[in-house]
Amino acid sequence: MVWQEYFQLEKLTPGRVIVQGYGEIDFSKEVSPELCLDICENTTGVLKITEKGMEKFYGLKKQPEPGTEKKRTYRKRG
Amino acid sequence: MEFTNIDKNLNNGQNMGGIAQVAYYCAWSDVESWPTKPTAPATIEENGTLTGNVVLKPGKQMHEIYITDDTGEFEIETVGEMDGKSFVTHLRLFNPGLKKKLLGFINWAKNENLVFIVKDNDGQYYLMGDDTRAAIYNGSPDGSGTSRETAGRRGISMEFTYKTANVYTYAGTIPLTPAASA
Repeated sequence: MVWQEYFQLEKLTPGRVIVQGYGEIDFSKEVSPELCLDICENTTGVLKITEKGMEKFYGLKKQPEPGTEKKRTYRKRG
Repeated sequence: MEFTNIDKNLNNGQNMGGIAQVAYYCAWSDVESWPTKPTAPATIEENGTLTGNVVLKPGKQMHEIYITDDTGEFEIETVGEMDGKSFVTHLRLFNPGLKKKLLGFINWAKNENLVFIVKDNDGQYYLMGDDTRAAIYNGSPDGSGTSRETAGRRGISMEFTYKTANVYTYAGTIPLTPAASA
C-alpha cells in the first residue's frame, strides 16, 4: 500500500482505528497519504513519518552520519 | 493556570443529549499505558482533557458494544464530603437479544476490571479507567431478561461505574485492531 511507504503505524497493526477528528480509518486498506500526513501533523501516537515520507512531503533528505559519507579518491595523473 | 469566562460555548448551537449507539471496552489488564492527566495546565481547558492514547498490550484491542438507542447514558455524579469531593461516572446501556454472545459478555464482565470509552452525541469522548482504577459492572438498572409482555424486549441493561478524582474528555485513539509488538 502506498501510504505505508511514507508512514508507519505506532504500536498498532494495520486495521481499524478511531482517530478523533478523523473518524474510523481502516489502515489495512489503502489510505490517502495526504490524510496520513494530516493525521501525523495533528495527532500523536498514531502515525510516524518515514524517511521517504520526509523526502516526499517536506523535501528533506536524510543527511549521512558524519564519517560515513563516501570519500572520493583521486588518482594522480601520469 | 489562566482562567477564562465560562460562556455558553455551544458549537453551532448543538447540545443534543445522550450517547452514541456504540461504546468501546477492553479488560483493564490489557492496557499497557494510559493517557496523562493534566498536572500543570496552562489553561482551564487543558485542565479538562487527557493527553495521549490508551495503548494496549501486544495482541490486545478494544471492542464495540452496541447500545439500543435512547438507553445509553453517561452520568457524572459528584460524591464525597467537604474537602473530599470526587466523581463517580456511570455508563448505562441496554443491549438487546439475550443471545449467547451477550450472556457470555456479562458472565465475563460482572467481576472483571474493565475500561470503557464512551462517545456522547456531541462527538466528545470519555475514558472510564486509569492506571489506578478500573470501570466495574454495577448491576442492571433497568432489568435483564425476557420482559413480561410481548410488547416488551429481551436483553440486558447494564451499568458500569468508574471512580475518579477529576473528569476529563479523552482525545486519543481507539484501537479496534490488535496492538503491535514493540
